[in-house]
Amino acid sequence: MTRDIYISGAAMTKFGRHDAVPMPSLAQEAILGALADAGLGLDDPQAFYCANVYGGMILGQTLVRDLGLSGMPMYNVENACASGATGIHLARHALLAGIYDTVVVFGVEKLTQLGGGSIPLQRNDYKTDLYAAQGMTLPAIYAMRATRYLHETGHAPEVLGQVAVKNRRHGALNPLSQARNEVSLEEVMNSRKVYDPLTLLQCCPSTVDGAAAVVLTTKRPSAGSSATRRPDVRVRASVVQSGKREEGLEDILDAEITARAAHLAFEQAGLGPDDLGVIELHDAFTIAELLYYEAFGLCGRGEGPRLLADGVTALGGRVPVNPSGGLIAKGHPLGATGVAQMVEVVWQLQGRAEGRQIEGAKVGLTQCTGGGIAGVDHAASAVHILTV
Amino acid sequence: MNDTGQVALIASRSKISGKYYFPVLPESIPVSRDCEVVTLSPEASLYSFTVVHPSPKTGQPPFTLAYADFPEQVRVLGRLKLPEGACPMIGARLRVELDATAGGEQTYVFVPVQ
Repeated sequence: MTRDIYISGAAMTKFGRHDAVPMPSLAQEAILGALADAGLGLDDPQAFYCANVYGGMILGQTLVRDLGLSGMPMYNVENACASGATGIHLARHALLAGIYDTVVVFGVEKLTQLGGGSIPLQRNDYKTDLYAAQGMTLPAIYAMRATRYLHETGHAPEVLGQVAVKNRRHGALNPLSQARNEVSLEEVMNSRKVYDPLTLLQCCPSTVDGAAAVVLTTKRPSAGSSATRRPDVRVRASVVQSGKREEGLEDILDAEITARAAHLAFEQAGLGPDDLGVIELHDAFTIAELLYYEAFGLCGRGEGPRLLADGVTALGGRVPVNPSGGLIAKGHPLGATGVAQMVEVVWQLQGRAEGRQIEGAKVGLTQCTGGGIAGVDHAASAVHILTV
Repeated sequence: MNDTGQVALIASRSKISGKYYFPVLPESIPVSRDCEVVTLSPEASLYSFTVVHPSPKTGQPPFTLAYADFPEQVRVLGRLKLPEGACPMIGARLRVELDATAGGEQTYVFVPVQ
């Protein structure tokens, strides 16, 4: 029997520099917030899933120790930037299998501990080691996609900058966003050169901390004794895919792994791109958002700038993308990102996204990718579809 | 050096599929048993690039990273050394040269074919 999976609680901390706030404090704030949002106590969930990248071993148990939990399982999940979404995917498996009926998934990261700059790559790989010695970083890979995109489509570099202008405008409306200032296209294009054609304001901030948590349950929230007036949010699709080894001269604009994940998610949900009312996607760098428009079937090759110019993907448009500000404005604390995307979509679908609410959205999609190794498009891509 | 005295990269070629992989698969990897070590063509085509601008705090000068496509249908990432004032051009012909890393070790770089 197929079970419906609901998100009954969602919460996150403000994303930003939290130098003086330890990681357990961030995690616990998100966990307690999500449980309170669901009307549950600490002993109600039967398991916890902790998503993180750079926090070290048995992190989840460390982060919740002082909450005095009753010893329920803690699963630590790492899948680079897709860790949070992967945690939700695994939790859903357990719920579908009937092992649990209610669990908490939280993601947390303190990138300020790394001191800024590009995040470290995976070093247990001969190919990644060789390329890292040449100077390969994640932003360099995206920048080469951007160069090729501009070459093939004939667009001016400003089309990339427009993504940052839109997402920073959205972030300015989100009190939990790291960057809360609007920027002009001129400011984006004239910000410091980092990886041509990407300028600094086209990259997600590298020093950011934060946590997010959701409660996943098979119990229909509106059927409970403390029934809320909020619409029930269902997880209609949950897909995690891994990158295939590059076998030749791959098209780096194809975003193959994400197109594959999105296709599977649409199939699972019985929905298509025209049904979407809100999207939170992995805009770690501006070029990514344009490529993912194509991967989701929102537009054809090279047509992303037209969607931006027409306001289709801005707040007020047909399918707003990254109303939270996305990774570029809200911030990208790796392990927390996938969960935070889910939090934003839950709030949007339930009419709780104060200051940036999308009217009438019934279907939302979240997507994040995990990278950091050479020789694959990305290591992981996760797509979820939520509905009310 | 290849047979004609030019610097060339070596790669693995699968004896099963005929596909090429760069860099050479380490011998310790089981699938390397199905591969042979071969020399790639001396010239490649510039597929894409980025000019990396290190943080001003480092004092390091900008450098160019490139994807070079070889006729054997294999893509290699590496640094691209350009003459003073030259700009990279997608589709440009590249060849391989030896260079020294900051640590003094020998490595490969791409340079434009004049």
